[in-house]
Amino acid sequence: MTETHPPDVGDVAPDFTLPDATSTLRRLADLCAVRPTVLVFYRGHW
Amino acid sequence: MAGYRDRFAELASLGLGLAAVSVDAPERSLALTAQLQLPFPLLSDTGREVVQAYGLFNRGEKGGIAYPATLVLSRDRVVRFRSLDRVATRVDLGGLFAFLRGGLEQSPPGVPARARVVPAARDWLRFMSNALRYGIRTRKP
Repeated sequence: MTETHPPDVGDVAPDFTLPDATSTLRRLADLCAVRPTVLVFYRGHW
Repeated sequence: MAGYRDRFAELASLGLGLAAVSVDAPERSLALTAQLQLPFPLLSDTGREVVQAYGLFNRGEKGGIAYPATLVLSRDRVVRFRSLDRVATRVDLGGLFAFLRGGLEQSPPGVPARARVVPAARDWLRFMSNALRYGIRTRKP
């Protein structure tokens, strides 16, 4: 049971590439490179 | 998401960007973006790979969704602030903005400024037990 833990303060957040609402691929590293970024995880539709 | 929309201008004025991740499909994100007039991107992790990589996969609900969380990342993706909330449906924005107004680089390295992993009650108990054991000391300048 090795559960991944959320990155802690001081850790480098894992990079990823995901599609936005228009299916355009967005890379976290690119977003952050422009300006510091608030990354929000939300529950989504239900 | 409406809460972040309402404070997006404040975030931008502090020099920050915003991106939000859920397991919703892009079509659903598009509908939500239009419905709430969101000025920031909603990213679709339909494969649940990112929520798992971030340790935020709530596999018990609705076929697996994200636990609510807010991270503030520096330009090199170092986590400066982290707020996890596995109980509430959304993250309280008060703590985030209190942190941001203090300045991104303010917290000394190794001291998680506002990481709310440890419940506040436990901090309080530790404080009280230390106070009983050592007495309450004011920090020397």
